Amino acid sequence: MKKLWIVVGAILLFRIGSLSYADAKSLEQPIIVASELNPDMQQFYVSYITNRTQPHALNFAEIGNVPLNFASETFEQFGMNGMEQVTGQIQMETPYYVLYSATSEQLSPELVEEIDGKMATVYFTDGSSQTIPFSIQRDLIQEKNPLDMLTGASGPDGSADGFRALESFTIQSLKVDERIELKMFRVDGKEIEVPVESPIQVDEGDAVQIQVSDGTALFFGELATIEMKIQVSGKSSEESAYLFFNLNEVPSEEWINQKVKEAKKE
Amino acid sequence: MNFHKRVLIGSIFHIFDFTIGFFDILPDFIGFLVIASAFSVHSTREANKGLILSLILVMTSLIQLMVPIPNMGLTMLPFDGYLGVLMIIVGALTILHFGYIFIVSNQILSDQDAKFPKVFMIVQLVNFALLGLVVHVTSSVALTISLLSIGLSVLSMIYFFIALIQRKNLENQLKLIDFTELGHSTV
Repeated sequence: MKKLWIVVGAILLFRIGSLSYADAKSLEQPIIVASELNPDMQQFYVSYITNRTQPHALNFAEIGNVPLNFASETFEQFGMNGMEQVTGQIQMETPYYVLYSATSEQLSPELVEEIDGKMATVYFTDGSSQTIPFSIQRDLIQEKNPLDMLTGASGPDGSADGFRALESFTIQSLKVDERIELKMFRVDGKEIEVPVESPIQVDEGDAVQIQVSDGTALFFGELATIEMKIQVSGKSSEESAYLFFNLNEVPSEEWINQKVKEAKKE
Repeated sequence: MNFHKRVLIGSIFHIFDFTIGFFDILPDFIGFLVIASAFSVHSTREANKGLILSLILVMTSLIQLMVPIPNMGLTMLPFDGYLGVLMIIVGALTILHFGYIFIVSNQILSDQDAKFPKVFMIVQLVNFALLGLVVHVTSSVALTISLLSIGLSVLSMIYFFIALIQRKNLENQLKLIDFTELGHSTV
């Protein structure tokens, strides 16, 4: 019986140590890593890192005085009575943390206008809240975009898209999303060096081919952008045109751990 | 009522959980009280230790009745804070409790060459240790561990009840032999 006491004591210490270690790893507050408003879909996206066990659940967000609701439901499975289901989709899971991305209910176009440029406050079901800035995803199909997309392919290595110029214009500069790398930019078969140091002339009917690397997606369907400052022939003012590329790569475990480390330091 | 019969009845309360609404119709504390009464009949050192453990488990099960514990189902996740530590301590005490049940049982059935169920105790210990890993792995691995743990628990509890029933019958036979011998000597 003495042996049993010793073994049970050793396992007891292991169990309490194991629980304490997991407890030390846990986050008191979720870490919001991305937030975005998509005016086309009229939806607000939030992506956050929380504990794998006992995760924080999103309640609602508020931008200005406009409440944005996220569907919340409870479920019963294998005797789990009334456990709250965390709103959102699991993007990535590590032993201690989960990256959730949640999508709000649809907003009216008027509300989208109203909340443009304001800060968002995200409320969790434990009563905590965080105020965060959010970006607004530009219209996917711009009426004024002079590039018409003809072909497109995306995968884990990145995206390769082909366009045709609908009118003549000059590219003054290119601003590439920091999450991706511009691997190839070809106008009418000629390779263009990036960053653009001198204006690039694109004539009507020219083929434009762009290849970008993949980047870390924090929520499902997240897009990276390339902003082009262009001058359309016959117009004096400079305009912005946007190109969109699908992000497919999910964040690595190291990336999540790094985010947690930074949040715990603060 | 013999030792094994009391332990058998007490274990039904301890092992099975049937609730109607929020009411537990087989509360653990009654089970541990019945097992405590089984230990109290015997005066060996092990029986006294078993009695103390049973009474501690009565207290912890009363605490568990008062503190609302969420049903975590298959996730087998430990609860955080004091409740988590309490549940771990209860797990450890329950294994020791099983140990004392079998030691006292062996003392009662000493003439029957009853053996201490080492495999059963090892399964209990492995199961107890395994659950410590659940918080350090991803959900899919945690679910695999939980299912393995449930499987081991079910098998070991089937063994436990079969062993108790067999031992109860042996104890009855022993009493019958004693009674017959007593009857013969009187004649």
